[in-house]
Amino acid sequence: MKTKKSFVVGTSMFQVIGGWTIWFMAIVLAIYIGSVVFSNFTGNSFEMSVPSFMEEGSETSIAALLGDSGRIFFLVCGILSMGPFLQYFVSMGVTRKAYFKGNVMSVFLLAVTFTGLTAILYGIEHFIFGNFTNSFEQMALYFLKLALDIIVFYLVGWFIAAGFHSMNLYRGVGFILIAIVVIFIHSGLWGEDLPLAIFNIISVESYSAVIIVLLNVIIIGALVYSIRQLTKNMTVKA
Amino acid sequence: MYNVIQFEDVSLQLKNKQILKNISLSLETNKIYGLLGRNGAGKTSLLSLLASFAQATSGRVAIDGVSVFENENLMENIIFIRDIKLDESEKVWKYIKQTAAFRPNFDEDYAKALMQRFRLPEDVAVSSLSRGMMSAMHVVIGLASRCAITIFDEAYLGMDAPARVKFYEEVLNDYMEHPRTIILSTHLISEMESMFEGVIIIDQGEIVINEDLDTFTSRGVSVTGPIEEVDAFTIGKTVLKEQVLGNTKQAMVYGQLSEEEKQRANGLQLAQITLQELFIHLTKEES
Repeated sequence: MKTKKSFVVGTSMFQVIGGWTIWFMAIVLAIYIGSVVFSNFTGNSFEMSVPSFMEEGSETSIAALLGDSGRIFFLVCGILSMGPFLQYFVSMGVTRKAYFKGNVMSVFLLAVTFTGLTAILYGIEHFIFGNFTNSFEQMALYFLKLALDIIVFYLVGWFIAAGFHSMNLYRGVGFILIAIVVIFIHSGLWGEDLPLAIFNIISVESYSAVIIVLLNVIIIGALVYSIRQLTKNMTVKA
Repeated sequence: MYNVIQFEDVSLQLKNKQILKNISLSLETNKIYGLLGRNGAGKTSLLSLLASFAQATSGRVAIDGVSVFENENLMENIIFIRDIKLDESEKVWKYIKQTAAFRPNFDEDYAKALMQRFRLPEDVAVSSLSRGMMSAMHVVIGLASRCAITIFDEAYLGMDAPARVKFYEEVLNDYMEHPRTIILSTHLISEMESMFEGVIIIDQGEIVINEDLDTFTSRGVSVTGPIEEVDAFTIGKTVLKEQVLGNTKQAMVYGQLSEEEKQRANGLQLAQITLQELFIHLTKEES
């Protein structure tokens, strides 16, 4: 039976970006271990910013560091998942639709893998040091948020790149502005500190987590829909 | 596999520039075509539309009546090979082999044989290949994919003359064994002329010629003989080029000769004109 092209695209994109991800995680882990050793040596401790549902003053962990830096990493991956990949796949006779489906499949796989690996690393850290203040429920919600963060940031990167690719420079900048608003809303939903007070009206503290996740799914759906509209007839440079 | 490739009143506009103008073109399948045109004439744009790299601004490209753009079954059977530099860290053989996942007729053994023929190294990074080797890699992918419609857009520019000869031989041999539509876009007209069965000439976004090679080259004649006789014979005809050596003159004349004219040329040597001369004539700029 013929393998679906979108599946081939998805697995190959997952392999490539997954490879980058392993490198990224290894580097972050090395930095984290280095900084822990250093802070033990100097006696200084440091705190990470955490979402509002976590305990204030939570001690840092590998999960917090990977969660923070991973968002930017996947934003960049999302940007890179556009031009060179689309050009490669179209020149291999793959439709834009199959590329789109494959990339969406890849982002979900990446989010699950990244979150899973981060949870395992956190578990190991917890097992060795066992001094974390957050409950199991809080951490479960943290990892759910992490997976959604990865998906949203990756899609936002892809969205910006698609905007630049299909429009001119000025309109491309407009896509960055839309992306910033999307990220504000997403972060606001999860109760992160934002520079704009209006987003404090929506946060995980005032609504149940289920509603927040549902709103997040709507954001993801809107991004996915917009990206498909932008890429479905996109010209590829010969 | 397919019967006819059709460009149906196709136009392409990029920003404010009209690249292709109302092109209607019908190509038979299982034939080798030469696509000729000056720089900027629209060759690559025309081929981009056939390969679904871009969508026509108006009109459509269709195979057996089915639009090519975003058609999964058609797109996997069309390959568009260009002479581009790839910044790819993957090893050459692995990169070539990846193609198999996307091209249903990809022949791995043939790809290996071609790599040996072009002396293409397997285990070096694609990005480290020299220009000639990069061209060879593209050509290997193009031939081994055995797509029903195979397009080479100046893909052999980086190759040296011996490598190009190998390429021409491989195209012809593999075409004999696995007939398919091959479109060769080129500036190396005299070198490749003998391969073409059909000739398409595009100029300033419009198709000027789409004919069999023999029909097309019979549009011009070279006349050789004593100067006075040649001059007398060519009066009133479009002379593309003249050369004089001592008392002998060679004139290239555009337009077919009637039987009567051929008889009148008794004593003069008549020969077929080269494709290159005809091409230059048809695409020269109006002064």
